[in-house]
Amino acid sequence: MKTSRRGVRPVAAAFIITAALSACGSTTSGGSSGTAATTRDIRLAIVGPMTGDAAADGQHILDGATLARDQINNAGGVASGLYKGAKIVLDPLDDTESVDRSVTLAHQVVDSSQEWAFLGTGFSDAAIATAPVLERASVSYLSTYASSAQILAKPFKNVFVVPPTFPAYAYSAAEVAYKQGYRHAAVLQANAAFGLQMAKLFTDHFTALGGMVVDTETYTLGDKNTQGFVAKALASQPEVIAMAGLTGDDVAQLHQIRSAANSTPVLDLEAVAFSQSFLTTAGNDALGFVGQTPSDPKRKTAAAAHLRSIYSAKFHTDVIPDPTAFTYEAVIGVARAMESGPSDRTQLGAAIHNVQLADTGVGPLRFDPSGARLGGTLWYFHVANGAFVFDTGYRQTAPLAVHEVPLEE
Amino acid sequence: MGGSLVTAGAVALSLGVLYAVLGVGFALLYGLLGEVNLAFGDAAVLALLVSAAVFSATGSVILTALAALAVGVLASVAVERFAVAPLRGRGNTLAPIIATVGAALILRNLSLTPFGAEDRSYPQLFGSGALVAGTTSLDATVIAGLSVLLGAAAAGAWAFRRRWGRAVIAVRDAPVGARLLGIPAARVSVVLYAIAGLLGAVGGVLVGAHVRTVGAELSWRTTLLAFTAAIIGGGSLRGAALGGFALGGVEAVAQVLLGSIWAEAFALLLLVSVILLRPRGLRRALTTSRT
Repeated sequence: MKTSRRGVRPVAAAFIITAALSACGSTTSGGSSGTAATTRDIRLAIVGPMTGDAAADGQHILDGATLARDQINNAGGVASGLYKGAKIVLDPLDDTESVDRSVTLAHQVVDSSQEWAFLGTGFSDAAIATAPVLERASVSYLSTYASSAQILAKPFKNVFVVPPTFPAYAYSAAEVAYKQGYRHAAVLQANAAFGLQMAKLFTDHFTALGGMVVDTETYTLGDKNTQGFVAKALASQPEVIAMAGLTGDDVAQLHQIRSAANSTPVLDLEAVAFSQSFLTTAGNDALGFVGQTPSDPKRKTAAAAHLRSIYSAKFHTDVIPDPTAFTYEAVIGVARAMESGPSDRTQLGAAIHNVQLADTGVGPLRFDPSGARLGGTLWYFHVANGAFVFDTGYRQTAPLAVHEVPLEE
Repeated sequence: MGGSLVTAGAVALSLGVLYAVLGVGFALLYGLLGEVNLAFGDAAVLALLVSAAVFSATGSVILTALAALAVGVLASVAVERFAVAPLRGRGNTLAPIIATVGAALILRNLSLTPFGAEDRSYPQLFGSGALVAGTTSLDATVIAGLSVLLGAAAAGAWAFRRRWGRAVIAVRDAPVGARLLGIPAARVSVVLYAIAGLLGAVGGVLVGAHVRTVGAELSWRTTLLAFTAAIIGGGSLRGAALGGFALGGVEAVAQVLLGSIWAEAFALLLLVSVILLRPRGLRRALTTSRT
């Protein structure tokens, strides 16, 4: 048969051009969510990846804000003070999981002067880049999912990290692994700021405790082609495997581990597994998987029971995803700060620093002078019979310190 | 070291089979029609996600497979009819390629709208048995993939010796002459896109059954892998299969012996090397046949 004389160079060039074109596609969503705004309304920009690969995270962020908004507005709006009765209005903004887009949205919020605060964003990379933009304009920024300590590396006055910061996750995971008797760990880290930072903190603390990380594998975030590097990690014969990636990554890696007839315990560093979709997607591979979350469905406080009931009524499960829990807290915190009557949005940051909530439903909420949450607790669970079984908690008592606390305070 | 080589070999075989099936599907259009379908991966992943939904609704492996094949074929034919065919033969080679990018975005949104961006589990369509090799496993997708490749080779060998196969060759080599001789070039194109969609769906299902967690984000990577395998192979069907195995081998060596972060870099290095050093692909090293 005749061979073609066509070369591949023109096609390759076309491919590269079109790849670049397709990468340029992005969408934004805007517009207010909920009731029509009035001048007394408290508008909040709710930012996250509403479209694209991480759209689930954006939806979780919006879910938490919506729950809090409905709760506050149904109770008559801001409870007291100058803004008594003012309603919360949400402006969902899509950062498409892009750092540049997130920064652009921050500039838009600064320029618009409509929004009182900027809440959300997905990955820490975006939060780190966004924080200085808002700080310069004295606009309050509450990061409700990203929790890298680098977000607060500079002395900001208007930037707050609502989840416990990275050391809380990594240090407590190292403590859990060490207390369970594991001394040799392998780490699977996503090649993104959050994955690399979390894995390093885990390695540092696990080593300080007396353990050893025998292998570290770095993979491209979202890559389901896990077979090779999982096999390499298993070849180092770890006693436990720590994962620092997203939910889908963890599930794909779990499958490869188990399909190699390997029962090595697996530990999540990123608190990404506490969701119904993880249980469904991972199936039997999740048996024994150890994870962490700020939500303990067994907490018996009135606030916790209330949050579970309103979440369950709307979403038919009491497994509250982390971005939902933290964004819910953030909106509650802003509404409480408004009760002190800040004269304009540049004063809101100081008001948030004075907020002290004994229990938002997720836990006590207050911030240290740097904007880091004080007293955040991570609850540890393992998976058994297709359900989460909670074991213990770890509270962040200082930026670099965690202490074990019992369940059911 | 011996254990690592066994593991690398098993990973290479697992990945190579998947990439070979995808590469052959992509090369079918590139090699026989000279057309680049950048919606290939999106059609395959749409088929994959629909089949995952069918399985969760029915639990039937047969219905799941049929749904994947049907959606793969329909999506691919739709790309041909609505994106490529109207621009074919107008002397602009770039326009149809750009049109397939548009088709890819539409297909991706067709995946995202009903299924969302969250990963979902994919069933073990080919059984749960796996042969442990080193610190990894060879699962049933390897056998299934090899069977598909052998079946495709046999079907190709049979078809190209018959009237319809010769019509395809005529359309490829002299489209105007073929039309003058009464060969229905448009129908040939539709059939080739349908077969490519079928192979894409099969490749997608194999990937899903292998990684067990799938989402719309797989689509672009699927196109990239299929494209790379086809280009490495020089556009021929055998070459694309060879390219798929070469790509799988390179990724396996990079992942198991060096580290996962190097896998894509090595794959792209292989692609660039082939483009620079052997612009007609690796096929000349082993074969002179296009089919």
